[in-house]
Amino acid sequence: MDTFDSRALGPTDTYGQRFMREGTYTYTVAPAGSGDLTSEFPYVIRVTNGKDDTMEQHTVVLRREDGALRPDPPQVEIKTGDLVSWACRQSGVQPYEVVGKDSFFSSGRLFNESGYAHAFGTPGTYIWTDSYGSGLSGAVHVVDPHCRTKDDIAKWQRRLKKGQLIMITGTKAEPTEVEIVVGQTVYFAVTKAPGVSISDRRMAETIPPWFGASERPGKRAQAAR
Amino acid sequence: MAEITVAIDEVGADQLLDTAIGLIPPQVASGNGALGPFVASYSAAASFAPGNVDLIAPGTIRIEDFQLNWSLNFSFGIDLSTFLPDFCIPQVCINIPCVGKVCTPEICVDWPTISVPVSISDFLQVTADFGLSVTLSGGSWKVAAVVQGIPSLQFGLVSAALLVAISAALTPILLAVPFIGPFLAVAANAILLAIGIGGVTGLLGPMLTPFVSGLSIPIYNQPQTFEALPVGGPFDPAVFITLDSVGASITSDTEDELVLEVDIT
Amino acid sequence: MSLTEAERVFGGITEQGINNLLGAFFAARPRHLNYGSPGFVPSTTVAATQMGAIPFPGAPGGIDWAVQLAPPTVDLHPETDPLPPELSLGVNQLSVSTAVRLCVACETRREGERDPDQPDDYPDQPRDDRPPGKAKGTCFDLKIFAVAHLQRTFSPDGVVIVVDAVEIVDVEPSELEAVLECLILQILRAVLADVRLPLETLRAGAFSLTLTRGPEVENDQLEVYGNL
Repeated sequence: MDTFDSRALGPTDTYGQRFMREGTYTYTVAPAGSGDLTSEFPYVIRVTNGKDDTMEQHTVVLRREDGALRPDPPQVEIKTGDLVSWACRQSGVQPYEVVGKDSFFSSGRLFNESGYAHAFGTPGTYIWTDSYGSGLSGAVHVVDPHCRTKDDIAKWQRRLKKGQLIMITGTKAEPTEVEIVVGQTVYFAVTKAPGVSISDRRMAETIPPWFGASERPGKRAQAAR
Repeated sequence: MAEITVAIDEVGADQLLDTAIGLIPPQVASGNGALGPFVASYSAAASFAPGNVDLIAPGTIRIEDFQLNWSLNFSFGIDLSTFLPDFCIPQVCINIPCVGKVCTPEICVDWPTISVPVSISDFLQVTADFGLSVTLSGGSWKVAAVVQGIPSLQFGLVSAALLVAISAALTPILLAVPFIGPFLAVAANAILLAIGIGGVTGLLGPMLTPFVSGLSIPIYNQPQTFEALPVGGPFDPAVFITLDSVGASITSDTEDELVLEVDIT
Repeated sequence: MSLTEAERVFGGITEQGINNLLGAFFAARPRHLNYGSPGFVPSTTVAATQMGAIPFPGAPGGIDWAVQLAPPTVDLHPETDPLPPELSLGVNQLSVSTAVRLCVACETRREGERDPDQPDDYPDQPRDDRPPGKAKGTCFDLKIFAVAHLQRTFSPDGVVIVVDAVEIVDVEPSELEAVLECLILQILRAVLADVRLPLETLRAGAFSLTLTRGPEVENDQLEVYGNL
């Protein structure tokens, strides 16, 4: 079975965050689970006022260099309402998280206008839940496409272009259950949430969050130097 | 004429060798072998079960259909990228209400190298000719039936069974590889085809043949200084004789017999 | 003709083989060829067996005596070594030939006694250096011929030679010959009764054999047959 957890991003995951207000937002990319210990945020997203409501997506590719994941580009200039997506497609990379200096902006805990996508590689039924205990949960049924011929494979590969959307508002997911084939992507779009994770229930039960579920967004506490 | 002559007929030789074969302890071997295009690390064990003895003058014992029971544990590594096509999950774009179109970057899959452990046990029926070997070593006379030449082992059904065992071991390992589902049958077939019957035989042959070609069945083992009588009391020490020479042959008169001849002083 | 015939296992030892075995037996245990009363054998050792002196009134300590035999030689049927005309070798028989030395002590030196043959006035003449109690034997040698058969023994499975008749050649008077033959027959039977040859030894330890036929004497060989 696949495992997926928005707290620990891998090569088949994408994290997205919309920036709705002007400002300069700094962040880092850290090994999964270590975000709250981070004290340096060397990468920058500069947000200026947009003239209209159209949303533009900016993709930041993460690459392994000198043992760490570095974003390309390290600085992004965007307009208010735009979406920045982060993904690392290199195999064998240690699970990571994108950690903003402002704690609303973190792949380890999803707040408003954020998103998490995962491409499922193995058949099975995946129960996902919020590891921070909000009660948010759902199920993804991944089925074998049963490819027997070249045509079957071609048909399946076309199907992979279509993703499945799950909208999360507060602690409700819509739909709560989806069915996809192996290789398809599910995008969890968080419009408004108290800081949740999208975690395979087995991961949520085994690895609880370091800090309690009551933590609210704000300036991230500086780690002890 | 030798001073001592001992003979056993074919039925007796069959019983004698049945017992002797049953007493041969399990043999073990380990190493690396070629499994088609792969390198397999293996450990193997073999034991023998009796067959039918045919005494052939002047010095051959043919044992027909004796059984080589063998068990094999091996593992081999497969770089799946040599069997599977390059595969990428294309960019996926989703319309999010009130937000707009959101896309994920393409994901290209690196097929991993997997290790496949296989365990299998089976047996082979073997017919081989044995010659009589007489040696004096370590102060003991030893007569043994020793395999002549390198027997050709017929694997036949065993090879097919091993391919099935490899397939059974391969499947759960492949299933654990993400995104392989649609390619599973292709991968499994390609790997098994790459190995093929030739690959299996190529592994089994060099691995199992030495168990048989090295087979030596003990027939006689006595110290050259032979105790004719044990100690009989404080004034009657043990009585020893010297086995000066030992000979072994197969004779064929009215019946075939295994004959040992010993001269003593 | 096969060796095993109707059985599974055959074991055969030639007369030379048996003679080698007997030679080894008596070389390791010579006391089975040497017997004597205390005047000749002070105590039983590997070399000799002490027997009692012949008690007789007026002979203090009894009459000392000794018997020594040469290692016997066997000849299996058919006859190869000539026998006296009084004996003949039948099927399944073997002949035994040996020599016997019989000794009787005519005087035994006692403690404190001087040798009467040793004059005091001639100290350089050979002295009697016999230790006190050592007998001085008067002996004679006899060549012995016997015919015997083989008998099976158990625990362990083996064979033993049983003497049937003894012949001493040309002793006069014939009554004396008869007495000596009677004496030696008993002595030889007793000596050979101690020589039990295990079947395993007769096969030099080859295979295993549960005896079903034999022992037989044929073609200068002792033969046994059986199953594994």
